[in-house]
Amino acid sequence: MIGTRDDEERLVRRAVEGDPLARRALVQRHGPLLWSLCRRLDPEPEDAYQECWEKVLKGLPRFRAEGAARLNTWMMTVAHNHLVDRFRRRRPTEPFDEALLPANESYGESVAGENEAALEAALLRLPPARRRVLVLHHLHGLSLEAIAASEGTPLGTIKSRLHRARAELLGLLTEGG
Amino acid sequence: MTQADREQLSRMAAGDLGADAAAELRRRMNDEPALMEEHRRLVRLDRRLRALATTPPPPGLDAAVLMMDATLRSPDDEDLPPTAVRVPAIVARARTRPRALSTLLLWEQGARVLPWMLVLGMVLVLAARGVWTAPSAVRAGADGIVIENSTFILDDLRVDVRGRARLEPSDPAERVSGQEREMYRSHLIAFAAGAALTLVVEHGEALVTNGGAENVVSAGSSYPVPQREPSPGEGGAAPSEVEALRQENQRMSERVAALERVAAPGAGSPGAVSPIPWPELVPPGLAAAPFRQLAADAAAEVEGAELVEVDCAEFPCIAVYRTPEDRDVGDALRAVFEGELATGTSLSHMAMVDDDGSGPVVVHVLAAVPPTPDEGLRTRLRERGEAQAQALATEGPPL
Repeated sequence: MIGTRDDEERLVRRAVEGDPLARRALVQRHGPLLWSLCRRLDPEPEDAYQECWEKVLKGLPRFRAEGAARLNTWMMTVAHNHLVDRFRRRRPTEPFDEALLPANESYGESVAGENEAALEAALLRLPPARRRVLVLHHLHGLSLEAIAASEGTPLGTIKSRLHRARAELLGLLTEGG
Repeated sequence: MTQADREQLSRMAAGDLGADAAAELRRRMNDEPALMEEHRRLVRLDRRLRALATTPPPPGLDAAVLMMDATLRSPDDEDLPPTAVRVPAIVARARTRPRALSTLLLWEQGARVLPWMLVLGMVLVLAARGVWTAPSAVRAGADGIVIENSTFILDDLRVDVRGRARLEPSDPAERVSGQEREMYRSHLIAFAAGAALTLVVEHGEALVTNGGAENVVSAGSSYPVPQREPSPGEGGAAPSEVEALRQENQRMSERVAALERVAAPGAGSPGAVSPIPWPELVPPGLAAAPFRQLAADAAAEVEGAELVEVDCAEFPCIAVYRTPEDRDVGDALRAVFEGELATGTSLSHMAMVDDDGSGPVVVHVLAAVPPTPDEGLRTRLRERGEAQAQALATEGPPL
């Protein structure tokens, strides 16, 4: 539940001034957004979530409040940057974590109905970089240009990843069914 | 239906396909019902993606964020090491994890005890704040866990001590032990498994918060910490489980010791590893041909990255690039590889700086590796990378 633009601006201002209630309200309001990114893009979502908030709250004084939508976008960009950093920092030995697939979820059976859980499971099977583009763009509406800037990757590459990810996702759902 | 067909459909839907290619695809869609159906599925997929739920984080996680935030903003803690502020984070994480996580670790960093331990999926926080200013604020003693002017948290139990207090097993029989550290761990395991503890305040006072109830315990008094109630579905811990955990603890301790040895200065020079032959069955993501293609694509895509060699003489292939001393180039190379790696593979990336006479040059060595490469493979990759860098340094600047 996001407040009005004025409300959001006031909230940010108070949070920057260190008002714990305002900071709490920010975390509660925007937690689902960051959690959505972390749980889908990081194998250790709880750690990632807290680190993203650390970045967001620390960077808040640099944010120029111009409305709720802008704050959302800014937070997503901050979180995205941090998740990419985490991904790159991970040791090369760290594999894609198959254990992330939802427990007790029989992939083959659940895709028959192409339900939400099956889609989530298929999402987690995508390589991380493609998954990031798909989640940020399709689920959260971040522009491909913004994603390219955050990733430090040419726009063409980001578009390729997006199309490849969508095709793979479709393929995964087809194979499962 | 091929992946290429699906990608074309996706590009067409996004307007990223050229006019001619789009017209050709539309013609095929009219002729091929399966292609048309796939297009419809793609449109439905986009709708379903947008509708995926945005759920709140697990309970306790936001509280952990706020605790961390408060700690970070505390002027007293400006010089705290990063680990100190991650303490509440770990608490929250452990609470969201299943009990099956049965790792018990004791980490030491110099003379300081890092302020947490994982016990049976719960977390012990040793002196979340005080340990950094007074490393001995919480310590294991022959008579229990001593807490001085600091905070001790274990699952639902929180003990804030102003003064000095001791946490010990309520059952005197359990206090008999040999080595202090072993006893220390035993107490924690016992408590995690459901044993009762007693807090004895020697001087000052302690605020005990347990299961939402607060109790102030003054000097000379003791407070029985009730036996921990198993959470729903958790079940009690059988002696065999405790024993299994002790063994797990031992294994983890040995692993930590081995890791510490590896991390120790001067420990990073193991003997040379023989070349690794290609396995008979190579996963598609690690095969030579697609890797060569990926290496070439990356060189074409990343400005400033010169592909020097793709070495597939042994497993796995490595791609060697020479780039200017510009971190962005390395990051971009890495990003391209990460984006194109097949599922189930991971990326190994080394960067070495050399000055070949014409200014600093960075050599990047990238490889697609199995999900869980062993130490031998990692060592061999490092050797190969260093050999390549050495060879480039000997060659001198490119003409």
